[in-house]
Amino acid sequence: MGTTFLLSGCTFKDIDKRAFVTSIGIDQSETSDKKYKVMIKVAIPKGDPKQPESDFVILTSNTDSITEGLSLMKSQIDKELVFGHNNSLLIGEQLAKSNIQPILEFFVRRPDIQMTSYLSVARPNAFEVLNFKPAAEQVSGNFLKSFFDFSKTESPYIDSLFLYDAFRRETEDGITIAMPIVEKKKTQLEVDQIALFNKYKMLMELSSNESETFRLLTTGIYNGNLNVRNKNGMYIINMEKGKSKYKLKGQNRSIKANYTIKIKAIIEEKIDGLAIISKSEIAELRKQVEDKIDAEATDLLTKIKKQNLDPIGFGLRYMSRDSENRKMDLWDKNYPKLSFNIKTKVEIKGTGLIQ
Amino acid sequence: MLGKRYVIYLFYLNLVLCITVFVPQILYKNSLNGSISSICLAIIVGGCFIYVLQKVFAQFPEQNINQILIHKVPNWLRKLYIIYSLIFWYLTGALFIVALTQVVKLFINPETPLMLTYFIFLALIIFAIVLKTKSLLYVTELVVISHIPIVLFVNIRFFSDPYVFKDSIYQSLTYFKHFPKINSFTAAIFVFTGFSNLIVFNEKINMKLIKKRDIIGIFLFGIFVLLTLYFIPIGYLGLKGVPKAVFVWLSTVDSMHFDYLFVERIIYIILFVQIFSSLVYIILCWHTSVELFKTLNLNYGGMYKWILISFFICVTTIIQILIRELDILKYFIMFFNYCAFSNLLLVILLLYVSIKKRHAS
Repeated sequence: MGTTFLLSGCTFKDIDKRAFVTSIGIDQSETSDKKYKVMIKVAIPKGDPKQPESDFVILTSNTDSITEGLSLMKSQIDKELVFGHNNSLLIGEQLAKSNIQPILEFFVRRPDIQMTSYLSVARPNAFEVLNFKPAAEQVSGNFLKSFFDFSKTESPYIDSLFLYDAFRRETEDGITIAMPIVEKKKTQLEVDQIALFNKYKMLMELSSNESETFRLLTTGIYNGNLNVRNKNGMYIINMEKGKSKYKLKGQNRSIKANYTIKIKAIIEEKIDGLAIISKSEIAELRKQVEDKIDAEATDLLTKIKKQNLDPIGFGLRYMSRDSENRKMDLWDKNYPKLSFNIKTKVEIKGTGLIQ
Repeated sequence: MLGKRYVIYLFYLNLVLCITVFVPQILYKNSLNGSISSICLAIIVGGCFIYVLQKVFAQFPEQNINQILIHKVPNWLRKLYIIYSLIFWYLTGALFIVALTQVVKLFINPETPLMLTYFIFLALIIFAIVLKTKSLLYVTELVVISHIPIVLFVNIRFFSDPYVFKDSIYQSLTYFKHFPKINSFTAAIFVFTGFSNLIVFNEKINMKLIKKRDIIGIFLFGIFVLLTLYFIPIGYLGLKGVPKAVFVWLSTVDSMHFDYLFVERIIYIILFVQIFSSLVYIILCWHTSVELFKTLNLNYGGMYKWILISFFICVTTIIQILIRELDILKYFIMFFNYCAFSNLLLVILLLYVSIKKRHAS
């Protein structure tokens, strides 16, 4: 037993001789003869945990391969670099629009990089996002992670993507990648859009509204919101919990995706007037919300279908159910014919503390 | 005399070890042409194997293979078989230690030289194999009990994880209309061979205490582990992704995301218990080998045992130096075929002996 203890831990190098990498960013190189600009964010540890301060160093190098870049960085810092605590991988928008396959493969191949690292597209580029310094954070680089961790943020616009998820979406037939976009605004970071990829490059992006619908159609959402207008004015509906599932029906010609969306909602805000919201009005609103979600979902799905992308995985579902459907070219033929039939059930639970 | 639970520990150790010794990878080599049917066949054959072994060993309580075979088969056959299984158990341990050092080198400390890791493990193993059989079984109990929560943990996470691709698992099931492949079959049958250690440990454990319902319980648990072994990685890495991974299970465990746990990467906990159980398994293998050697009745005191052990060390070191990381899977495929053959031989021999005993009485 003692021998195993001897083996584990930081062998031969003390912890104060190590530097912890918290995020890795990759951009297209600015110099024309190199391929990548590799950046790492190294946290500078603070002795006192009571005074959270975000101090970090960003190391950069322009290279043709990521490995080369990372080993060049070893000569830029006096410590041994540790990648085991790295939890976010940023890909610059420019690079995402050309080819991400080699990057994904590199990260999956390395044993010390976590398979649960969060992937995201950085806009305008990875350097800007990495260089962002929040007012306070416990460990520098943690800020980015908190965006994607479900236990920390529950924004309905963020669709986080793990490294292993990206890898299997890359290799598996009939499904493509959807990645969140981190945007550097003037004073803050914003994550409310989703980039859709085909097998290797970014093809389209969803607006924040579409991102919410996309989350509703895939992982489900918590606390999303929706505006509805009727003759008495505008209402804001808070969707406390939304879930969806789908079934593929029919063969070849008349193939159909039957979606069922279930939403629990409350009326949170009423813009015009102070009149009491009556029972009949609630029923009316419910109908309106259902119609609106139906329309939005159908729009989004057809829009994605037109680009011939499949981030939800209809193709995978189609190929998994019958051994005769397993050919990818068959699905490629059938996907444009796929029609969507969306059934939304909204349950309005209440109107808050006042009627 | 030890209780019946020790048999279950031996079986359990064999089950969980499949993760580190590439059983899933060998199965995934044929995931598109015959793994599912190989697994089904292995379940049937494995069930028969467990049943037969329990029946036969129950007829010879507190006897090791030497005592079972003596006076029932010709002397030369008995000695030949014992030497054969001695070599078999030795090679099992040797191959497993090579695989174990690879894993440690890759995941725990990439900076330590491979040979240093190897020699530290070897020292521990050599120290342990000369201990009494009973104390080794006690150690096994400790390791197995510390391992059970981890297995539960991984399974609960799998069944509660919304990120699992259920469609990939369904898709892998559609590839059942193929003939079983020999390599996949022998790898899958290895899951059920946890009882073959009994050729030595039967001396300390009474198989008569094991009831029919225990056997059925063990068998069902074996099926469960074999299926999770195959399907959980497909859920995380996809059907086309699993054949690409070298250490499928470690990648899979690394992919499990725990939001509310005190550690982020559960892979290190898994590795830790996995290394322990692998070490104990290797110790049991070589202990079996040494015990078999003792039954050959060479009247030269304890000297010969140490000659055998130093022979072990030399040969294992040579194997360790010669095997490359890339080829290790190939050797394991060979090993599983060899293992299935040895177990078949064991079953035939035991059936012959038990029939002979019935005629005699």
